[in-house]
Amino acid sequence: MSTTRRLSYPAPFSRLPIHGVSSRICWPSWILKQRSCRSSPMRSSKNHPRLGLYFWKTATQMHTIDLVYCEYCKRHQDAVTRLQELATRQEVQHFLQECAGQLQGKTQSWDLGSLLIKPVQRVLKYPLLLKELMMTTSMDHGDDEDLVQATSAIENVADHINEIKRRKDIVERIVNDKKKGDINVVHGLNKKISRKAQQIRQVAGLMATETTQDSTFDALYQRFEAQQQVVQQLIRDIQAWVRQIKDHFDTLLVLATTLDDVYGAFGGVRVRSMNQIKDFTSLASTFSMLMSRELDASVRGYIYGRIDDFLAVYDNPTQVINKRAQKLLDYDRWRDIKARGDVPDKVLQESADMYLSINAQLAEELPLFLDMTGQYLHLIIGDLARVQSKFYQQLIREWSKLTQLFKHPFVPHTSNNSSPQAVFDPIVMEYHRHFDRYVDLLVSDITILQPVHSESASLDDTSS
Amino acid sequence: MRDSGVGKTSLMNQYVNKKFSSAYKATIGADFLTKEVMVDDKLVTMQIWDTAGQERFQSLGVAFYRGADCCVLVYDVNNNKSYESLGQWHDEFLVQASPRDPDNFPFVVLGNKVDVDESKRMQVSQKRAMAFCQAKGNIPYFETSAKEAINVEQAFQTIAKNALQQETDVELYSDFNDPIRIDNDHSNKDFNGCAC
Repeated sequence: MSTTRRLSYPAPFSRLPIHGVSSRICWPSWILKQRSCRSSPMRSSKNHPRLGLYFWKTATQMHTIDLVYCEYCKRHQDAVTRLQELATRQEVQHFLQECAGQLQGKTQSWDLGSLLIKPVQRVLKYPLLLKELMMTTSMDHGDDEDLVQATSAIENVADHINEIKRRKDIVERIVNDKKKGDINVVHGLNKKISRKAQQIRQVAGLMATETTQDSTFDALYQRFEAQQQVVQQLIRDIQAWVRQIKDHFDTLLVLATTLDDVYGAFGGVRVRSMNQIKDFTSLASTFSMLMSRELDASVRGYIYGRIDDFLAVYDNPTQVINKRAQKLLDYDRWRDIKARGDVPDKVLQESADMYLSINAQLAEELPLFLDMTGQYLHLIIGDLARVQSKFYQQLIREWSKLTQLFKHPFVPHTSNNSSPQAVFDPIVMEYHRHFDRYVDLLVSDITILQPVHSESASLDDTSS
Repeated sequence: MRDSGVGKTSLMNQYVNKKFSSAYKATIGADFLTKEVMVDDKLVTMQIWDTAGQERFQSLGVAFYRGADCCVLVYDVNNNKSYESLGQWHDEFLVQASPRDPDNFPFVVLGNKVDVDESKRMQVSQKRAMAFCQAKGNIPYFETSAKEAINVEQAFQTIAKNALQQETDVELYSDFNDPIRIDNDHSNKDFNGCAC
């Protein structure tokens, strides 16, 4: 049995939020090679590689560390949660056990969860490592200055990652708290009152500082609102379209029944004509009963449900945006207190900090969100187009069936696959031929019309 | 926090690898270590996570603390400041990890570096440390030396035992079992070694 046999991923793993990220995180091999250097302080610059230089001068290296670990640390908790969900499935359990079996002795960790935490631990080891390198490097070593800069840069990266994670946690808490409902009523009421007072002060111009304006956010918020309005308009348009179709079907049915009555009342009409009227009536009732119900069902099933789901994705961001608006009032009050040289209390301080976090998080995530909802909307529009084209195709099929039945006796040699146009054209010509032959004679019998008739006839002559 | 250097990594290394290196090294290789240990005639595997380097980064620490079965707080008996922050780490752990039953979550406090020459050390008296542990709900307390391997074995034995007890308790109330961690007579445990 081969131990290097490849394991196949069960399908759900391709959707782990951090799939593909982990493979990019590893220690650069040169660090591992240089670890032996640490036992003796580095003095000569000639014989030792310049690690600080590598870290610091290649800004892209630092940027990559920031980017990759930020993404990873941000999604780590989601990945763990997802893994726990997946691990309840039997096939996933088998897969994980098989993996663990193959890894025996190769790693200190005993499960995937433990492996997933490694990058989170690892990124915070960079500052330790560089600090240690710095401590064991003498001041006159050529690498010293680069190391100092590299250390401060990597600490900034760690701070940044921590900050990104902190913001994400704040936003997630807002979304989760809303689901649980506001428990502390008195506390909530107090906050409401002081915010209301703040609003009044702002409107009345009693503030030492200007109200905060954030054009980036405002622009995003406008798009956020506009997208929802577009979709709500879309719902109304679809409803109007369905209503129009139904109205049209109803009118058609009324016409069919009227024709039926008219022909029935005349009596003595040829059986064939009567049958044609019956076919038309049955088509009209198929439309107004069956097809309009089918249209309803498919619009409901494919479109409305999806639009509801679509609009629901706006709920969580809306909560965060509302929270931002509340915290913005606190933030402005905080700024006002600061401007007057007073010290804001701790709760207000936290609230103001929270505003900054939420605002930054929204400025970062809303563009992504709006792009994705844009794509989502395209999918829904695609579904709508499919529903419409299916509907119209069926409509054409039904009409074609009827026109096939209507093959007029005057029309010679109409093949089965001829288009409706080809069927109707001879009918129209036939009609005109009859009109000319019989109606012309009738018209010429009416004396009062005679002058006009001959005039127009002579006009025709001259023009020709 | 300037509480790194109290000997977390050294304690882990002494316990798992029976090795001690006097040179201070930030841990780059071992993010966690595992060791098999006998608890009440049962062989369990203990996984010890080292928090070195993440002392300052609270938001990233959460990922670390969650799901732990025991938290080990380490301070340096020669460093009063490292002792002073014990309470802060204790509370922070409970907030971040949000265990099901915070009042009974197992902690173990280790006062490390007792090997340092008697005349220079003991800024923190044993009495004060024990009073702290008593106040926080009878936390087991050990004075250890990673260098001389004093009390290390005993301390980790207690850690293993309390963690196992914790996991058993959690399972009693838990609606779902964590399927990977337990096989019949070969149970696994995990721990966070937490900085102090």
